[in-house]
Amino acid sequence: MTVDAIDRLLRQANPIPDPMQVEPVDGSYLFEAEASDATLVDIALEPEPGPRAKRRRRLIAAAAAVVLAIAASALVVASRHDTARTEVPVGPGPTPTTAPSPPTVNVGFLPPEGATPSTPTAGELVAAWYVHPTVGSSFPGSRQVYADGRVLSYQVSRDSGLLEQRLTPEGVELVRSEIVSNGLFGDDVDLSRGARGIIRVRNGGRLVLVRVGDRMLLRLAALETWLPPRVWEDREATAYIPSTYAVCVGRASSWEALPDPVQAVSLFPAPLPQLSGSPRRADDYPMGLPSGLVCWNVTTEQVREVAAAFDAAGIETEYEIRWGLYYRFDVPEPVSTAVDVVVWPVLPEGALGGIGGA
Amino acid sequence: MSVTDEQQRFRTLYEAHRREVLSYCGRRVSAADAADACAETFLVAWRRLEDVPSPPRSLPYLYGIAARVIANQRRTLRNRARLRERLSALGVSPPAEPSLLYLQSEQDQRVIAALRRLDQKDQEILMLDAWENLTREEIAELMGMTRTAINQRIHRSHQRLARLLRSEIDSPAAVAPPRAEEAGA
Repeated sequence: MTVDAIDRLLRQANPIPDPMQVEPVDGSYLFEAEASDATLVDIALEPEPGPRAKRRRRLIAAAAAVVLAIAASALVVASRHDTARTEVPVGPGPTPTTAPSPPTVNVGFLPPEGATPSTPTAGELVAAWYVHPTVGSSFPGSRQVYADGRVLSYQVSRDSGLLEQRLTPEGVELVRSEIVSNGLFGDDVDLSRGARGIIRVRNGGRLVLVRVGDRMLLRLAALETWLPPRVWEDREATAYIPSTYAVCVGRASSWEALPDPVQAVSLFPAPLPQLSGSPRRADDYPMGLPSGLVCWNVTTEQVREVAAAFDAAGIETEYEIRWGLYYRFDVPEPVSTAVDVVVWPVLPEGALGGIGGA
Repeated sequence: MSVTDEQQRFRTLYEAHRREVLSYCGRRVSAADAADACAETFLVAWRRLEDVPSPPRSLPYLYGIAARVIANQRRTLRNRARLRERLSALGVSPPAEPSLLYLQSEQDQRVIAALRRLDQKDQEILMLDAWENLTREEIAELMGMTRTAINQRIHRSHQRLARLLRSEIDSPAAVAPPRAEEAGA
């Protein structure tokens, strides 16, 4: 989608493309008001607060701080008594209106030096879903649940990166059975990728696609509101620290295959010995790869070296983003083309962090 | 300036720009609120007529007033929304307010929904550019920024919009990166 295309879409979306569509009232009422000596109300658009107003605002701010402190204390006390709370029953009933506590961790793409990778390094996927922003959840994005209890989340509206929480085995089974008991299977269901409400779930020992309705999606988006506290081993979200990353290379824009990716890498303005072996291709990843990209799986330390090499060569990331690194530059002859280099985390099941969902 | 001159100038201003100002408001708030905002905008313009620049700078100036009027109005609307929430909690469901968005295609709604997720200032700049058809210089003057800054903001916003729209269209790409072509480079 080009910038021109976005501009065109925006112009098309103009709710009132032609001002002749609207019919304002006659403005002569202003003169009539003037003629009748009525007092016209002047609207204070950005009033300067006087000393009294400023003092009042300070008092209000102080009062708000006290209220917040009390509320925070109450929350701490309440959270310590979580296990004694009445549990929300699990079932396909209406989604409780209690707002989930969305993860608020905000980390950069590369973990800090010395950060311990999430364990175990490999994990079996039990369920994965994507809640589209238009479904209406305040928590749109993706979640993946693993047999070892890990729940990895990515929120569309927050640049929070990949986050990790943990469920007990009972919690994993509750989520799985919730999906299986409410999902639609069968040939008559449109299970094409990209269709709304299509999610992956492990059933009968293998991952299958099922279709669920929006109500179910809302429920899945807000696990925190209905899963009993006892099934959370660690409900607090922390940054997911991968142990492996994939450095992917393809022709710029189209991500079409480069005729000889190894040769192209050898001509990069930054030397990248980390990418010297044979690259992996779409079949090597559970969810495949877009178009003709090829990738090399590397360690966190090697990703740092790649980023440092590009940095030293004066190549900046195209985006300041949380889900990956993204470079674009020209490769000289005989390749003579612009390439994209994209770095994604490798998820426990082996798929790339940028190619998830159903 | 005599009263007659003032009135004449105001009438000219009103006749020349009333539709544009009402459209500006209608693109940002519901039809009913737009009419109020438009009336308030011209009320302010009437009271401050001496400050209103001559054409062609008068229309961007009026947009500036309208933007502030709408900001005031939105504060009121937020209060109203809170009231609606409280009513909903009590089991009372007030009818939804009419909106121009209901008249739009699904694609347009998606574009506008993505637009609404941008920073408030970026939204306004994009709308001034795409909907109000102001020049970049006019936008820069209205927003109190340089033209270069406006250009950069528009470019970045287009890229972000592309990413947002792509993430909605390609729903399976749960952690989807923006496709390469969205970089716009």
